[in-house]
Amino acid sequence: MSSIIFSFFRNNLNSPKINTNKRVKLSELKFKQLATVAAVHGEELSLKLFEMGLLPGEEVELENIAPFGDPIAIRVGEYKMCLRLSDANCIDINVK
Amino acid sequence: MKQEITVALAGNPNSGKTSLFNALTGLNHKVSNFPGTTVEKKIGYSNLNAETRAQIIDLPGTYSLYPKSADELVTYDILRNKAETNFPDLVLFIADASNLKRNLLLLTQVADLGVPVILALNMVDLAERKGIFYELDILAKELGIPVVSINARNKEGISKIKNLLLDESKHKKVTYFNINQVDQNLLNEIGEITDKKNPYAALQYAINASVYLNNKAKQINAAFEKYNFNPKQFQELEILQRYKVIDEAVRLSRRQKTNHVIKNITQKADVILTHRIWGLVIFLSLLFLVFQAIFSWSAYPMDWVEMGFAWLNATIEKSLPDGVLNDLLVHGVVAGLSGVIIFLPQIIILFAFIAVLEDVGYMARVGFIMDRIMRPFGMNGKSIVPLISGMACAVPSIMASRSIENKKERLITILVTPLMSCSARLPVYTLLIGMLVPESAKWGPFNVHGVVLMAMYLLGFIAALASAAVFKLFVKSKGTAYFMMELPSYKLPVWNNLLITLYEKGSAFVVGAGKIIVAVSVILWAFASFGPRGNMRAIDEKYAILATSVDATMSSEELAAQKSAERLQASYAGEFGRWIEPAIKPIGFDWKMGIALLTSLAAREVFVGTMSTIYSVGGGAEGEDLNSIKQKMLAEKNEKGEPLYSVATILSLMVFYAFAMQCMSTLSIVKSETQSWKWPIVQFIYMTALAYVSSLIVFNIFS
Ligand SMILES: Nc1nc2c(ncn2[C@@H]2O[C@H](COP(=O)(O)OP(=O)(O)O)[C@@H](O)[C@H]2O)c(=O)[nH]1
Ligand SMILES: [Mg+2]
Repeated sequence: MSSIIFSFFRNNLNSPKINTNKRVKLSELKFKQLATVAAVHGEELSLKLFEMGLLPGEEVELENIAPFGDPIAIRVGEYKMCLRLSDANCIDINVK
Repeated sequence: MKQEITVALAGNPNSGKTSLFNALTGLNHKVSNFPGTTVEKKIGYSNLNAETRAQIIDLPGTYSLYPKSADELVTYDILRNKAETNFPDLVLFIADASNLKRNLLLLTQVADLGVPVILALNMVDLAERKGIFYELDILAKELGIPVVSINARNKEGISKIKNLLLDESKHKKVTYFNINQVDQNLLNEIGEITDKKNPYAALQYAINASVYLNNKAKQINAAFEKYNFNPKQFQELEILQRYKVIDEAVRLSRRQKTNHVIKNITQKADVILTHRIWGLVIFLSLLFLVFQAIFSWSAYPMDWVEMGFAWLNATIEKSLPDGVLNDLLVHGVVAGLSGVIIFLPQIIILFAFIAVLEDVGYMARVGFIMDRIMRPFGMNGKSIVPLISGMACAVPSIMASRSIENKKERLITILVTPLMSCSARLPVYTLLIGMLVPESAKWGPFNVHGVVLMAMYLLGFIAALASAAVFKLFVKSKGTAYFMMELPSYKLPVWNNLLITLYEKGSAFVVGAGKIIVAVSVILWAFASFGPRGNMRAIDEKYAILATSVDATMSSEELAAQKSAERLQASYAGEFGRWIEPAIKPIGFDWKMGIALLTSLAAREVFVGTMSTIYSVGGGAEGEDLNSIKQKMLAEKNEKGEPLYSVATILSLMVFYAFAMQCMSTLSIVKSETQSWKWPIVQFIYMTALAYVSSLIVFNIFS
């Protein structure tokens, strides 16, 4: 049962064809794509993310996906952090 | 008298604070608790020159001065309050040069509190590997504070730091954020409420107070409303403006070699270590290895500890005259102490593994891998460290839960961690499993003994998850739960720092748990040694006659053992056993096991000692001749003439010890971590109920 849910997330991450320079959610970013942060939704979440250096304009890249498809590890600027897909869903990015 | 300056080490997590602290102070430091909390306070001393020494405080790492977790709150509490005894003359800010921008955010906030700051740029070697370096004089000019580059790992640049700490002319107060954009009337009012002169410090304190610290929250919120001030919006604006200043300073001072090709080892390792199959396989294998090591490597040191205490006991017994003091020392204090120290080898081995895995950077990955699995149980990836450490001892594990930001997830982790089978249960399991199956029994290639033991540990883990799932329904949630953390680059461990960590953890365990266990053992000793007057005297008289009688069917040792058994039965502890018997009969226990349940309240492993006293094994309470205890227990019959220790009773006992809350040290640490009596009481009740019901079920299935 649970594996179905998890594979659903994984498919999401590998979802087909995202046009370049298109605005998508961070949870939809694919491996090897570069993107910049456009906006973060949610007051509390954005504060926490800003403090951790994930700001509008910062470059992000998907680096790893945890065994059950969630959370994900991303490169933010010069370092690596992880976050849950539900939070990544609140982050808009522009794919380069 | 030497002159002394107080220096606080501040910075983001993983920026190298502890490494620098160790480099500056060596072993010349001590760990204590911050008042009112159990958060570790590390204070050390460093001689700057012949006349001056620095008192250095290692603060928990944080990303900002708006704290989100219990350990971050400590840092904020020290820096916000100028009246605090540990308020620093100077903040030594340590920043990771390979990720400078984010690190500097906190620096600008700290400086705005009105403390002089100097910047130590750390991990320049890692930055260089990425092709990045900084012009220090430009950075210093842009930030307006002194900057030195260091390598805390190799202790490079330490003398430069010492010189800066001495040179008072360079300690400058600077501000980065323009507080005057905020309504002056609001600032005045907040300044009055919070009694702070520095307007930024006042506003920041007010914002935190309105969320975390309850005093004055009403007044503050009223003022915010009056001036239409939205704290969240303000914080966002504040952070973005700070980043603007930082961006400029970084842009001007940063040099990048463009043609630099880096091999990113961390990323390559992570592809395997967080892989959806290999990641889990590697994690489980590591766990298995740790588990094996805890039990196989600790065998000899534990023997030594045991021998040491046996010698100590014998020495005290011989050198002191017979009497209450002798008895109290031998059977109360030393017995209690040895019960704690015996586990030190196992705990040190477990801590060593955890410290290495943490230092290397792997622990963060474990959290990353496990987060999804822990979530349905109301916990998060960071809960896995307390749960694993719980296999050694719940006390330090519960302290390790501090890094969990969400209060609900942290509370659930604290509540269920004691269900993990800790090392104190091991002697109990060993005795009871030995009564079930012979040592040599095999299932195929596996030793049955070991398999049953594994099953008991698994049982504890399953019970912890199941209880967590139940608590998730009842514990009220405050704030949103997120799981966000840095995954630091992999690094080789520094053995010297590792040894220092082990020394700190080991001594904290001995002192912390030791105090309570000794106290409780003394009380229990009294219960077991004294009884209603007449009864005890009758026994003493009976044995006095027996000892002088010529009829020598028994050696004097056997006689003494029998006497102590009878005394125990007549004591208050014995009375308690009989009083509680009706309640424990349904789960297959008799009044003697009732005594053991009482004495186990100090620590579970006391069960074995109590049993050996009750069954008067030669040599008294500490004569741990397991085989003869086993024989005597197995020979015991109930009133129907059947063996008292049937399979059903033994299994029931094992399950009871797996689940019951029989550890004063744990309850007291839960009290101080949750800052209320409610949760230790809840924990005591739910675990005892779980133990009772499970034992009832097990006993009825097997009998
Ligand atoms: N390469 C390198 N590693 C460092 C340096 N300083 C500290 N480390 C390592 O970084 C990790 C985190 O350091 P630690 O002192 O525990 O950081 P804390 O979390 O701020 O206390 C450890 O593995 C250190 O050995 C440095 O200058 N260069
Ligand atoms: Mg540290």
